Amino acid sequence: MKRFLKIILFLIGFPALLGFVVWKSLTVLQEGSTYGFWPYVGIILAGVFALVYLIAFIITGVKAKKNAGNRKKVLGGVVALVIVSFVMTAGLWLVIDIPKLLPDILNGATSGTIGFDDLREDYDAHAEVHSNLLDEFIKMNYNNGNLDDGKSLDYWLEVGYSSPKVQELIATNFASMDKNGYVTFKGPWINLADGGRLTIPVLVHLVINEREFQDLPYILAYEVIPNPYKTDDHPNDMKNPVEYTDEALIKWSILDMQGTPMVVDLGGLFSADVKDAVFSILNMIDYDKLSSIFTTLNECIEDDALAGTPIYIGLDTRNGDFKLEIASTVEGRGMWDYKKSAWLNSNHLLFAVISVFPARQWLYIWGGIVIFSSVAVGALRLKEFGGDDEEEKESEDKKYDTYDEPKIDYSELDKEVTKGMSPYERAFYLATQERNRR
Amino acid sequence: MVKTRRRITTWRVLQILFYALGFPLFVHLVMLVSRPLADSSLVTGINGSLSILLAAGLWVVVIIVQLLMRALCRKNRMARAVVVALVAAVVTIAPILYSDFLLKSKFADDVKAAEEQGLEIDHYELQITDFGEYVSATNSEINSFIEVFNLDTFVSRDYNRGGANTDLTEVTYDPEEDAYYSPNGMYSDGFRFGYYAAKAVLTDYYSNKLAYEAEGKNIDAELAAAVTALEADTNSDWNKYKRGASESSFSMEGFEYITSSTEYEDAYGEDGTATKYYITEERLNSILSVIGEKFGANSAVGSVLMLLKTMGILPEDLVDITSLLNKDLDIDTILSVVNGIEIDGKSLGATLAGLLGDADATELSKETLFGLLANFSSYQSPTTYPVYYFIQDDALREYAYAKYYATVHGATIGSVLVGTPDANGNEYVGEITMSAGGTLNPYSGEQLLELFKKWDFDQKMQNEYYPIFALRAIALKMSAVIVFTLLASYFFTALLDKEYAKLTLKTEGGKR
Repeated sequence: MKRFLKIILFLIGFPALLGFVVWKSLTVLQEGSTYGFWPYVGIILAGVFALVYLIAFIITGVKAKKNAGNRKKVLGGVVALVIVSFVMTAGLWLVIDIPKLLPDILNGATSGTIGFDDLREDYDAHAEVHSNLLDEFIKMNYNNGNLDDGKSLDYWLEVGYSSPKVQELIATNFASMDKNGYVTFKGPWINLADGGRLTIPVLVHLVINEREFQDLPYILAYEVIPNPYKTDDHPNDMKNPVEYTDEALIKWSILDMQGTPMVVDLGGLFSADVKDAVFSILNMIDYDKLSSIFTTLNECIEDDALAGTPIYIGLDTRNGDFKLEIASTVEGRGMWDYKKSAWLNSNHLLFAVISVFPARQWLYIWGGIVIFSSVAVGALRLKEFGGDDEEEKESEDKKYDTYDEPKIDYSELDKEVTKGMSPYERAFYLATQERNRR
Repeated sequence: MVKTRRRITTWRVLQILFYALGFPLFVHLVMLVSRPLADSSLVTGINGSLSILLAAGLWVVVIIVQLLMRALCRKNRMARAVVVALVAAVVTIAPILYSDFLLKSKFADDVKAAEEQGLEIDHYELQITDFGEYVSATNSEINSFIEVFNLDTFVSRDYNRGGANTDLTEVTYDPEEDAYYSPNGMYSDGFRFGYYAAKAVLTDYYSNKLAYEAEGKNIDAELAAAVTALEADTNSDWNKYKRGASESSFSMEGFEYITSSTEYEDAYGEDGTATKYYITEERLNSILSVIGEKFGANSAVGSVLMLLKTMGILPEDLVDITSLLNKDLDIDTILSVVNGIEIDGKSLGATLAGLLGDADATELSKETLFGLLANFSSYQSPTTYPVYYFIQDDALREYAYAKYYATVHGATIGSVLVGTPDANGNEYVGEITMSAGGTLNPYSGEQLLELFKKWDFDQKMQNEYYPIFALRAIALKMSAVIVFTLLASYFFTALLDKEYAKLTLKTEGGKR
């Protein structure tokens, strides 16, 4: 019965905890299924903790048996097991959490773009976001011809990051975006833009400041260039076959770092009459001519004298809208904005970090149960092998009870002493002596 | 036996309870009452927790006396209790006496000085009662100030990547002023004002402006005249500086170059360390040349312009723009075209110059155009002095720097401290960015200067007086309580010892 109870208590401790960690990690494992062992880091970590606990459990169990009857030693083993159960669950995490060790590591690794508090409970949503980054990246690069090889989009989505080609594509193209983009912005300008302080002087600095670039490879089969004048009759973007597989100077603008296109609703700025008048003028101008003027404008911006890298300015008059669009090259070049591209480049590591959070959460939650089960198992061991203080005392008493006193024969001595005494005197003497001797 | 045990438990609980109601409660209450101070940005160093430290210190003094008395006076429990109670009474009354007799007179001097500056200060008795409310009110005022000028936080921040300016010069931090500086002593490229820097700039700006106004002078006109004089005089220090003249030739006393005598040329000469970061005339001409060349090669431009003329959208006598579109297109060409177009008998250039603030101009000059452009694209080299550095009048020089920081630097980083009033006289400040139009400035110059004086006084109060006031407030309420609870604690200890003595008798064979 005790053995059965001990097994049950052991099972509701760390094995159950491991089960919860695996259960809560399912989304992370599913979303990061193509990232090899990285999404398993949290489970592996919990497994290592469980292993340490298991070793402590076995050692203290064996020692309890060995030291059966020595209550002090058995109790020492129980205390050790309880301490290990605390350290391997909540204890270690408190050490990591309280001095902000993990938050600081996470902050440093992601340049503050992913906060510890964002991940603490919301790890599933983050796993989905990071999985989506890869899926959308694959879709973009399937559309621009980078991932073709005669295979379907579903194939690429299925193999995901496990494909060496996908890994090379991410690493090569991000290196270009980083070294010929983000790193080239000196001073405060990009931080001001990212920090909600994009003023006109900041924008001008970001566009016209001289920057230093280097020749780096870039993989691109087709560059999708936004149509500079979108109408209901001409809604599609243009595909421009290019290949940058060799060393080539690809530059990235501030808009590429931000990613999101800027859309100015000109229609909303004007009254309906003015808007109609502008539309009638636009309709009188030949589409190709107006489109060509915007293309020339974009060529001017791309020239080294100005931005040195494309920023696509265009009009969108589809569905009665009248919008000015300022678009970056990221989508056309098959990339996310800088922040997301940096995440994607480190997605395997981020999946490892994300996978730690379900483990952390359940090590905290179930830590108390593990400690309880350790105490309960310890109590059973004490009962089984530790002997009993009261029993010990009783047995000591019994020892004295069963002590056979050495028998001394006083009969000769009594005879000698009672010689000549009356029977009454002899009886009194013998009774007194017996009492005294006893 | 059971009764004795019960009594022991009761006396033990009462002993601990009464002890806890003494100094532990005192420290806890001081902690609560001084929380606004700990949260206040104006409180510096350990002053935020000074009252707590002092309260804990008083407790420690009493503990030391307790231990000493235990060693010195082993047998006479009553004597121990009386001495400890006396010491407790003295140390808890001390802050009250210190505050009411010594600090009060110092407070009176400070109030007098503040009142001479025009501040209205509540008297001592109100201050010692409501100091928490004063702290909260000041914090609230300062938070509004921070919000209006888009400072984000009380402390400043340097947005420079890797702690270096755009030209990679080093940035240094001055913790006393909470400011990041470039080698030329000006704020760094990415410096976002904190409370202290914003206050310093606005004080310099408005105090000088108002002082000039009081004398019936326009400080902006005086500044413009001083700068013009420095530019015009070939022997001015400014021109000597630009030429790299020897330091001894400067009329300014003790003048020293930052890096070398060629520093200005190194920064603003051809391929200079600063010219890479703003639109110079050469840079603008090279941009125009590309535009001219590329648009000139596009035949669609000509036909669209022709269509617009035919439709009457462009004047028929408009100069042939397509003839200008070639790689020789430059700013001079554009200005001559703009100044050559006459609308209602006035040149288009003059009309544009009028819109830019130069109402008397007969044409749009290059200086006016680049003056406008400088609002959007300029770069003050961190290794050169600006022209203001050479203004001899201290007040005017101080104002010039403040104006630059409040307007040009502030507009660059999205924290405009002094805005330009619009046609309706509305002045927008703070977050003026591509996506935000700023906040209507709720302060006049006079109001700001008054507020700064008040906040400076509040800061003095929060650092020098309120920690003692917090301690005093709780000591006043707790002094007698502490003495009583300490004595009660001693009393229950005596009862406890008595019960333990009974237990000792029992083990020696006493009655069961």
